[in-house]
Amino acid sequence: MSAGFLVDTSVVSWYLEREARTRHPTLINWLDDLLPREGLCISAVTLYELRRGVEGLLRQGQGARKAARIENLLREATVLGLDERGFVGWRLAADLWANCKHHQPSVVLSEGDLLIVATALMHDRQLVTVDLNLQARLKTLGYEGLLHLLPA
Amino acid sequence: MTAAAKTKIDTLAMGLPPLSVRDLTALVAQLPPSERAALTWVPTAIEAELKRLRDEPLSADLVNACTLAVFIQSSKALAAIVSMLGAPGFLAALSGIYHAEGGRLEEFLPDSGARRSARWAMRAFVGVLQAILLVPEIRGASLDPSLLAQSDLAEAFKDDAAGVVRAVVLLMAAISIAEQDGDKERAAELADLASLEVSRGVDHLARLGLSVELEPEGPSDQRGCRVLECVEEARAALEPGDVAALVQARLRELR
Repeated sequence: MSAGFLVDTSVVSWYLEREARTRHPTLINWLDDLLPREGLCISAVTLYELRRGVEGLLRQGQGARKAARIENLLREATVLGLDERGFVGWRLAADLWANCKHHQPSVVLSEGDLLIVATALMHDRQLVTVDLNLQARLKTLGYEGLLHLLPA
Repeated sequence: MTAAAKTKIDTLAMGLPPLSVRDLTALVAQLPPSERAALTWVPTAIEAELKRLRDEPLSADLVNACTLAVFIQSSKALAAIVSMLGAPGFLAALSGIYHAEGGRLEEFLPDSGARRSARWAMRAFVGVLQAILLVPEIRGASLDPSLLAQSDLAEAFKDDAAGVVRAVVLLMAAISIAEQDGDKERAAELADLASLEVSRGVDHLARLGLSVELEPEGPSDQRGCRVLECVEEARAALEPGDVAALVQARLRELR
């Protein structure tokens, strides 16, 4: 039994859409039910990715309001990294990269996705993603047990 | 903590202005008459800077210029106040002021997101003050007027270390709007900017060796409910293209 869920950046991005309730009702209902009980758990990579996005908005002169709202959300999240327990998460990430590279045919994960998946492995959490390509690639690699699939 | 870091934090700690001109005036009123007389112009000078933050288009240059000006003006009064109260007494007085002014500002702000930003900034200020009180070298410090003569002070106020001071000055401007029952949206913008600035400032202080422990926003078992509130507030602020911009900023390759 896993220790809970880790939602990836694609999920957080969908969740933040103004039309999220109508565009992604299954995901939103699931999160609305989960989060009050378990809170929002993300990888440090997601924190980094969202902060990159926030900085991008600020430098486009988008004003402080949007950035502050996202920062307020990130402050309430539980952020998990790869450094704990002697940096063992980084070894898991390296193993995952090697598994991708040596799989026949090879499987390509973006660096961000790879590190988020390693974070889920490290903390024994099920990964929640709406990225169908990532889901397919993880299944190809034999990591389907890591995924928490939402009903279509 | 290095000597350079201690000097930076020292300057920051003893130069943190109170959150309203009214509070500064009240502290100045506690000084002996001879010192008080020499400082009567300070609140007026600070008010002129806050007016710029209330009325002019907000930019990094404007915020830096006003912060530096408020810092220099208020420091002249604060040197005497710190000397009278002692560093711990001064920081404790500031902590009380921040709690009270924070509550008043929250009542004025127009939306829950801006109120959350203001609460965060206030908690961060109090956290910084408490952290400073735990550093023995700083507890006994007083403001060194020679710091104000340093030619690089203006340059120093542009970096993240000054984020906490910038945030205090931004909230002073927001509070001055509330006192005049002015433009709520402008006050909200200032509060949001203050929360971003103080966040950077606290991170920078950690790099200097001053770890700031923040009071939680509320009970930990309600954290998930607060996440839902934050998501609603973010959705209300973000426009259709913004989420796409967040996605575009994702990490593809490490370079």
